[in-house]
Amino acid sequence: MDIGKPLRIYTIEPVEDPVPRPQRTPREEPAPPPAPRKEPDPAPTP
Amino acid sequence: MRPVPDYLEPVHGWRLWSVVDAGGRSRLQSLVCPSIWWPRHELVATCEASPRDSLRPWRRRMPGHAAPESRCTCGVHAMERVRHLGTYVPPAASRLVVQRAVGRVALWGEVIEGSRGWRAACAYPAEIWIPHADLRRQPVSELEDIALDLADYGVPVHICDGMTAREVIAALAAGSPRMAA
Repeated sequence: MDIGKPLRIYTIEPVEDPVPRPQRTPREEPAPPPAPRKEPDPAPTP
Repeated sequence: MRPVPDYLEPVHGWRLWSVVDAGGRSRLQSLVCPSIWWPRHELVATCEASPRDSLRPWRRRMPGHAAPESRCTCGVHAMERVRHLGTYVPPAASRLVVQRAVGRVALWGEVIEGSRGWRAACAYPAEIWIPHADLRRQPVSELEDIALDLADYGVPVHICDGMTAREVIAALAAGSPRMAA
């Protein structure tokens, strides 16, 4: 294609992706490990 | 440190493609070089310079550089006005029967702006119109199959039943509401 006489050169960096990318199926995130059980504080000795 | 871009939105131009079979699905292919435009991936321009180009100095191709290069003709081409595409449609008397597609295309990366269009480093279709082939009036069901395949690009696809590529270009140039998305 003949785009005619070159006028200028510039750089375009789109903020939004112009390509509709394939949608990834969300992986099931592994359940976080259970929080460690907090041991009860020892009763103060008299 | 990366250079600061001049613009943050892609520029949109007009293109013609051939519709070819690739792996059993209809896909867009550039008219001049046999690059397939794969769905969901931008086309990244490369300079297709070859030794035989030295026999055609008017093509001014220079091997071994990133595309587009200002002193070359490489890059993904698109026209500013859709009516300029008419030059690239085979004449009605042509025996060449190829399914064409007309489209708007997003261009970005390094871009060379010309008086009639652009050459760019990266491109992706933004909207596609499928005319009947110029000489072969294939059944509408075939056009629907093509449209279904081209829907893989994830952009609007329009079937222009009963219209040749020239008629599609003329309607788009006239801003016909029939052609609206």
